[in-house]
Amino acid sequence: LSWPAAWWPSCAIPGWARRSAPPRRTRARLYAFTFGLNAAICGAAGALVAMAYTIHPYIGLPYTIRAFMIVIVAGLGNIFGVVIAALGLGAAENLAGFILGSEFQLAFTFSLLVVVLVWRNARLGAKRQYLK
Amino acid sequence: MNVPIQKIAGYAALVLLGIALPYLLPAYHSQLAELWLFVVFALTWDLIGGQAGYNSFGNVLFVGVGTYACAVTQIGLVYNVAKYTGAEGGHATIFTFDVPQYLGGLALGLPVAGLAAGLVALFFGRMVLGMRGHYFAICTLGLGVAAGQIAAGWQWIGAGDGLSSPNAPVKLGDLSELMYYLAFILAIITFVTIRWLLSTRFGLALNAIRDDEDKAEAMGLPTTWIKVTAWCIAAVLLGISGGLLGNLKRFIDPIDVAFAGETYGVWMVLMAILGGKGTIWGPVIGAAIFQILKEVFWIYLFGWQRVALGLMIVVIVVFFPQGILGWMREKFPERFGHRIDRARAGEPDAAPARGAAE
Repeated sequence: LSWPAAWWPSCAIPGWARRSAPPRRTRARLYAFTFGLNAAICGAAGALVAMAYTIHPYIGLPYTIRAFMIVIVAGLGNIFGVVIAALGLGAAENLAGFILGSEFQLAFTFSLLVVVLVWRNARLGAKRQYLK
Repeated sequence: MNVPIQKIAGYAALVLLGIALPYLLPAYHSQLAELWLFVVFALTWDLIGGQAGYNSFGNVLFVGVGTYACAVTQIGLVYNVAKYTGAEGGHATIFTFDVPQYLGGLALGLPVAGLAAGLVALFFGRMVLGMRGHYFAICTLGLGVAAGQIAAGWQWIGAGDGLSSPNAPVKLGDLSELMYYLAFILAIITFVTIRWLLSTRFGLALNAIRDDEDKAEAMGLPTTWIKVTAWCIAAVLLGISGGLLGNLKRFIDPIDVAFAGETYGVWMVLMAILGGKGTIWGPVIGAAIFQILKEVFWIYLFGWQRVALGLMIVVIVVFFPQGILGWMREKFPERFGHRIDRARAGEPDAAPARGAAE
């Protein structure tokens, strides 16, 4: 469900509104609308999480980090890549929890975030040297 | 050098106040010691966050590394660490430290803590400090949290059960005064070091990176190495303060004391912002105000103290982002060494700092 919902703004919002600089109020509404859509989908996902796990006030941060990581790996704006990366992270995390022990599962997630960012940075650095 | 006599007198008065504080407020030793540790946190954060413009949310990593390095050194000099933490069983033993063991451990543990944190900063700095903006912020956040989670899973250093700092021998009596003076001396060392650094070309290079990194690099500055050096200096000082923190709190929880991203990690940023980013006195003032407010909230709003603190954070970040000294600098630019030609500027109230901010 969230896949078409994430696709939808890119189809529904007219091209001129995304490419050119629309008037400030239109842009603000666009941002507000997109953010609202994101909040709605997240809320629905949160309800599903509450069905599977015990909940506590600090449950949010690991999910935020995971979401950020998935988007970085997939590349910003690449919706199909996000789906693949999300499936990959889910599998990798549970495998890590199985191999390293469940106490290191979150540590693995956060370390992977650092590794992904460092890797991305190294790749960008390599590109820059190539340009030199 | 020609330092005005008022300035020397001011510094001397502050140092005397610092020495006298534990006698003036004898009931608040540990809170005052924490205040000086907060000064170190805020000053070191400001070195990389305010002066070089790199908003790091993972400086708590160095505090945690220092905390554990110091405690493990103190324990490891006398006992087997795995036995002490119960990783190999043997909970029944009582671990005692005599006077030379305890003081020697502390004297060795604090430099080891600084060294360990500095090495960690050197290792990660090369990788992490090439990133910019949000990527750097998120990456450092990830570093801090990941380190906390690893410490919470590592049996040898006590895992999630935490690690108790060595018990001080009874003969030494109450050590809170010693901790206070150690923290005070560390705060002075930090202040002097950072003030000296900022008066050299190195400080100018940091500010150049903050203002326009691409231009700084095009001018031939080795920007990554400058950032790594600044981060390492911050890390050494943070590591020593972490070692003190562990001995002050007496119990090292991996997530609530050592790698406490939700408390110290956020607070150190907040204190620097409250006082004024990119100034030398700002973090000191910010830390003092913050620590007093925090203790007041804890006493009078117990149960809602975190809510009050969170509200304060939101209010400061949204409505008061330039901080106390930033606001003063806009109001009285002459006192900060900015000379303004009011006649040429045309309008009497237009300060250049404000013009630059808009």
